[in-house]
Amino acid sequence: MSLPNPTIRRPDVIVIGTGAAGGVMAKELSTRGLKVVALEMGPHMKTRNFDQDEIKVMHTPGYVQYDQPNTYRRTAADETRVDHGIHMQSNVGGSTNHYTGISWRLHESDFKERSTFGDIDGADVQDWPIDYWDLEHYYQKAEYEIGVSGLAGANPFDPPRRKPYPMPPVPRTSSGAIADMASQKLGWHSYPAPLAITSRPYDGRAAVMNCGFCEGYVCTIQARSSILVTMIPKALKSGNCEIRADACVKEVLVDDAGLVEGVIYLDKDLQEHKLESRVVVVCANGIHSAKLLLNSKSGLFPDGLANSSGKVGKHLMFNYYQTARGFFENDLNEYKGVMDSRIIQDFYDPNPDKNGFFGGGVLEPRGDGETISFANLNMPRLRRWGSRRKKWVMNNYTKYMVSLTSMQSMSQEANMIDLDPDVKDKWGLPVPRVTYNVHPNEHKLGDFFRDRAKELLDAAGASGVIATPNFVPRGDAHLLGTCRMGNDPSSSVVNKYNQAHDVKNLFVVDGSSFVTSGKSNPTLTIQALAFRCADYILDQKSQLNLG
Amino acid sequence: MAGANQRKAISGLDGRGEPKGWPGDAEIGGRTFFRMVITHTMEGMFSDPSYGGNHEQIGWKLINFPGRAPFGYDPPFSQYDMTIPEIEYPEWTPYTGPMKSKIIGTTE
Repeated sequence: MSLPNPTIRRPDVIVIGTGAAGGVMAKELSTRGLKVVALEMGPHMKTRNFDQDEIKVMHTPGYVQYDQPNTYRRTAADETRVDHGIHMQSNVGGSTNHYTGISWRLHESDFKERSTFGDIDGADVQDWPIDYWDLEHYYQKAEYEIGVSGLAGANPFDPPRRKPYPMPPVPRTSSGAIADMASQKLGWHSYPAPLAITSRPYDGRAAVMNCGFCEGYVCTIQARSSILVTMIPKALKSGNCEIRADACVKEVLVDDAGLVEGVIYLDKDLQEHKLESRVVVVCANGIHSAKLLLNSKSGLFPDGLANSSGKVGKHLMFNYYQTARGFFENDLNEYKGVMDSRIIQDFYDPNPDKNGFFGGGVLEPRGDGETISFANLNMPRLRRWGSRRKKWVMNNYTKYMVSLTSMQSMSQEANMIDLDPDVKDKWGLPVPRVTYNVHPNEHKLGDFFRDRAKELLDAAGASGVIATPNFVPRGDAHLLGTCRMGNDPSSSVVNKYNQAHDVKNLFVVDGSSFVTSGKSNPTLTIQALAFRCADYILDQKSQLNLG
Repeated sequence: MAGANQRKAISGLDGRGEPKGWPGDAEIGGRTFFRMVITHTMEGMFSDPSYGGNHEQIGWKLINFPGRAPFGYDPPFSQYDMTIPEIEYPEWTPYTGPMKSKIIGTTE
């Protein structure tokens, strides 16, 4: 069933982007009485457009994955080269269409790292202007409205919560069972991953069927609680929201008083359109939100919109990660079940006194069923071809699991995105130029967590454990920090309600508002921030020139 | 070519530097070309048969992958999740203390 998509000529609010944050904003504001147009740079695909086909979904750039280039340099002194490091979907629902779905809450400590641990040499770690308790209600709202399965109380490191998860955990996979066994041996605390995946019929959607075409794929039965199947139908059903797909916003416009008055966007045929509104909410992710503001130059904002602090695009963070892969004697069949059914947070909170370095992370034992990717896997001392490769693929496809560790990245001013002076995308707009280098701390974290990943697999009795080396990420799926929130307009872009310090009717809600990176899996926090910002907009609407 | 010579010829393609006799005006190097051939070979062997390769799922049968799963699977998925006991977690009690900050637009 397809819901009618109304035409709204003069919206109260324009939402730019329809992913984790934009979908929540569109749904909340439209169902509570505001007229909303949500602009999405890519198409409005439907569940029926996706299937269990590795070639189409995983190895065809542009089918579901964003395929426009960016440029990359490690430091401002390095040469820039064309790259494809930004992992996202550009269609309605954004990257929630394919994400693993891990949906834990940040810990109380994440919001207060500066005041807890002091200055970190060479980094700019700051406290958030909000704390866990400002978000608790909104985390709960996100868990219930989006649909998160999990087991309250199973993770001893979880922050306090007032309500259980709305659904019990999904079935445990083989890698999850192995993680349970190994973590008990080691005295660690493996617990069921909180997942934006249904474990029973929920909100008109089916329960998970453990088909294994999970992370990276788009769920064919809508068991993944993506924005496309949760928030978008509710927004459309309100009759107050138009989803305008294939609409890439070029510029946010301001009037003489320095208030936002609308946007210019390009349609599929690169025709320019102007859409007016007295409130604009930018939810285009940690790369594209900053890029859009930087591209919105005017007499009042010569360095980009809402950029009087000069911080738009700065402090880019990913989540650093390491993986170890272990091989087992018997079949695990990780082509069955969700990607990741267990999490271990024993090393979440930074412990610089004990470890000798700052930062924390998590273990996310997992596996998948991709066949082509596995056959092409880079393995030490094993050629990509020949009878040894063939035998190895035959003997190991069903017998491995991955011990992924995700960690925090340090906020550094020099890590940033700005507008590439030369390279243009298919809309003729400057592509984002990523400048990114790791902080020395991150390689120490990498070493520490690689050892923990191996320890888990060793305790599980795996053989032939292969771990990844330290590296400098050129991009990621977690795009954070580039319009960070704060109380001080000279060192942050948005205030604690995601409202631009410089422009009261402009909001930026997505990973870009993160002050610290958390340890991974930012989506639930992005969604909670969006639910909270929607409350604020509705509360303040008489003062925002909504008319 | 005999087996040993085949391996030698292919190793030459997969090495660093251009293989002997590789045309100087070629648009891509020998190794890039060879890696592309391997990737396409793997795709032909392990992709969905609707693309024309993996005839009668021969590649998937080779590695014990059953292919598309339109109806999914029920646990147990292997002897590991079947035999390893679930962890018994402590009973959860909700937080009932005071809310330390206000919910926007309410007095709560």
